[in-house]
Amino acid sequence: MADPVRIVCAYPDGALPSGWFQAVQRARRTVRRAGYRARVELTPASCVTVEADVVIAPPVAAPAIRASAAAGRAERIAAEFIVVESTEFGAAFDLLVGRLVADGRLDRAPEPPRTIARHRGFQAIGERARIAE
Amino acid sequence: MRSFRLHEPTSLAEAVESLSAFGLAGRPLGGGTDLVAGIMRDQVVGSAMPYPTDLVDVVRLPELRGFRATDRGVVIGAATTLAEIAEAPLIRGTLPMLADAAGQVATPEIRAIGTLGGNLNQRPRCWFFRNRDFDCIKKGGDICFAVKGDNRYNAILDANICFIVHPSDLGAALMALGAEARIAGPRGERLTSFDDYFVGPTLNLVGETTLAPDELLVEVTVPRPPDGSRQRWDKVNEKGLPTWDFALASVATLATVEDGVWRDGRIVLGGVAPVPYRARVVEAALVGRDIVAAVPDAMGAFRGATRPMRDNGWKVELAAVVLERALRALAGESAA
Repeated sequence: MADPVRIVCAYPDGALPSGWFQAVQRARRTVRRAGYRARVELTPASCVTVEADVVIAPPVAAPAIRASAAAGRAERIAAEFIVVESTEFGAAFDLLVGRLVADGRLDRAPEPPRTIARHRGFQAIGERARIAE
Repeated sequence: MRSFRLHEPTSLAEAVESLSAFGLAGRPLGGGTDLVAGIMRDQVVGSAMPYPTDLVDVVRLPELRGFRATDRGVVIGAATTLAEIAEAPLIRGTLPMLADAAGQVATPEIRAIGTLGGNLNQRPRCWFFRNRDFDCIKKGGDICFAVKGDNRYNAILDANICFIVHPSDLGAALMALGAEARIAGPRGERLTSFDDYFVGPTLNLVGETTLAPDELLVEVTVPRPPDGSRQRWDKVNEKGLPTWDFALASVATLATVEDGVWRDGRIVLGGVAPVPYRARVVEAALVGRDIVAAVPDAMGAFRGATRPMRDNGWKVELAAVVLERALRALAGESAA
């Protein structure tokens, strides 16, 4: 199975407005509730690395991220670099998720098997039959 | 403590260049009483604040040292020690509130090496922030642990998402005095009123001041107070003494009072909000009125503005007592 999609939300070094933080938190909830195999990270602009699949940043942080890439710290910033204000973050993130799903790059984690496991303390003592679908 | 590199620039320009090169891992070093003996010793780190591996010593920079009288007011260098500020005849004579605030910080040993810049730019004392096992929002995490945790010392005013209280006594005093900060950075120099120097969590969750990581506070200019104005510094902490410990609540007041009537002034509270809190609602309740008669309305306005958390309702009453004490003293001093 492919690695989870890594979505890095950057902010200017030393300056994280609450609006951007809340927008990223909503994105995390979206991913979690949908069960997507993705990691939504929040990081200062200077810590953005080449391993990110997508980088989302506000306009004020974009020059620093591009400069880091140009300076050779990263061969490229990421497969996709989205610049957006916090007020437009939600809509942009929904579009991104839709695009990633349509491209087959974002899938859902498999549902865990629906069984009942019995334990005594830390010792598993058996499982009942799978619950009928 | 983990290792670090110490850089000793010989000029302001060299210090700014160093900070620009080191990014988030570079920090200016004053007395080090909080940065080294607190943040670094206790490993207070996170994704938003990596361990400081490069310290830029600014204490010996001539541009940041000392104080002088100018036509704009008293100019105090950011590397001036708290003891120097507290004991200087120039400052004690014209800015007694600032001298009192500096003279009541911590202990004589800390005041001997702690600097103005360090006091203004120190990090908060929230015990979740200071504990390495709690990856709180201010360090780059996802949660403010004070919301559901023991929040007895957290903010009662103006908090949002993060509920720290700002620990700087001199910040409250300088805001009340209408001071201005001179800041140097790779993009040039700028001046900022102390009304805008501290930024709350709505604007910035991972920092408390307007300084960018590559900027440096150079000096503070405190304008001459209006003729006939009164200044007071009141501070209460858990030890029952104004010194040794951080303020649970402090009040810095600069006021013009005539025959017991509040004509104009500024009231700033410390230790109750994520930034020094300008109590405009209290000022509005006082202006043009006899202070003693207006105290009930002023206290009502203050209490109405507070938003205590589960465990810190007592701070509202403590702050109100300190505030009322300051106002009545101002009225009494003026009438004397």
